[in-house]
Amino acid sequence: MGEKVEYFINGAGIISPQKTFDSNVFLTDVAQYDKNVLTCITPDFKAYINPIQMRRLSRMLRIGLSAATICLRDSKVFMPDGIVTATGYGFLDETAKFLGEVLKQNEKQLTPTYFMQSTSNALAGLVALTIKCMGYNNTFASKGYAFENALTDVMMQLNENASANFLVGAYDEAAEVQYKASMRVEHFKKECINNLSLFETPTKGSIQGEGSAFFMLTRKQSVSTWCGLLDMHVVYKPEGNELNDALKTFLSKNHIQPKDIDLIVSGASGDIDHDAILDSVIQSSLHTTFQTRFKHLSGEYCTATAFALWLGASMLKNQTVPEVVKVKKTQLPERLKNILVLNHYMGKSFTFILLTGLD
Amino acid sequence: MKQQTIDELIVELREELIKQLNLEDTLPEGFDENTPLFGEGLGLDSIDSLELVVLLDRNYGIKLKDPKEGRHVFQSIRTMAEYIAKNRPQV
Repeated sequence: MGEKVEYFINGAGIISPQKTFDSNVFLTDVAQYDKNVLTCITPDFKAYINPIQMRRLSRMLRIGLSAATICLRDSKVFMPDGIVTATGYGFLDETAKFLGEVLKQNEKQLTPTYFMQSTSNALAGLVALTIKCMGYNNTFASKGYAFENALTDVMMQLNENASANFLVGAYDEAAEVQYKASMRVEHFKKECINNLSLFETPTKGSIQGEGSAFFMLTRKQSVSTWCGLLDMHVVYKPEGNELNDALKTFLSKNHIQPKDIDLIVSGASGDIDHDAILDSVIQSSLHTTFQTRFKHLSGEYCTATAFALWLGASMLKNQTVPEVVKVKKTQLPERLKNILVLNHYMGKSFTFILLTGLD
Repeated sequence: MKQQTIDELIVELREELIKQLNLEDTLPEGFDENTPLFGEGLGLDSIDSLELVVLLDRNYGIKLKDPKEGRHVFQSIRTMAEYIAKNRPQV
């Protein structure tokens, strides 16, 4: 084994339903929710956004801009070469407000702010305007693969320009309009549960989450580097043994044997139907590997892969595995080296990401 | 319906501006009806000017069509109040 590290995560910032904005603590004080919608624990935004700018920003834009700022400060790269964001459903609350106003005002006399804040690329534009970044700016709004598409875009950009730094991030909000629609199609549990008992509730549906995470991706290792990103692969609606075969091919392509993986970050969502395929792949190919889960902390949302990436990168950076994410405990090596993120969204969109720690 | 005086309009506009433009936390000290709305003063920007155009239309039935006119009208809360008093449709 031992594939050359192609990309490095040189900084990260995340705001989630846990107190993750503070990089000095790593999931030690776990937030519990006695409802099926997990919303972000937010910092004092004034630490990241100037008050004049903040007055017009919606809650999610404040969260996104703050997460991006945390990442920029952490990476010490204050002017990236490009900014790429991802979102499954965009700013749903603002979209609902804008459409509500369209109806109320009979399509006349519409104020610009709701409209500006309802477009999916508002966050990428806001970050660029704030730091005056005139470089590449792109947003992917592709549901369960939005963040994966953004990562792919950034990797391709970095292949063209090895000295570049790209800020890549994701956001999705737990909006009321989406929750109601998702309940109709049984994406979320009917019964109200405590988030920490998500995996002890063998029923259909998950719990809704939200969050925004940003990463500084480069091809150069620096003093700020958290870990290396070896590769990523996605599989859509796998049938039969397709997912298992795809995982074997993915690992083999990266010259990694299942025994070389120290830990799995599983994107199991607590949905008895949707988790079945992922669980069977883990059982089949990685049954002796240390396993962690995270959706009881973040909830389920389109770009939850970004939370998984942050969790994996944090464990490599800190060389610790928080108690609250441990599921299956096997012997861990003295030093964590290879982490495999295995996420799924609604049992359809599957993602593999290979991370590696640096000596 | 009783026509509002300039002073009544100033009080109403001040409240409406603070609410519409989320200015609660950013009002400068000594802010009054003569404080410039743009540049130094309140520091409003071009998006705010669009919000003000909509506010005039929605609340007072005044359509501002000439951008040059806007520069004068939106100088301060007082100039806005004077413009509204002069141009609002008679009921």
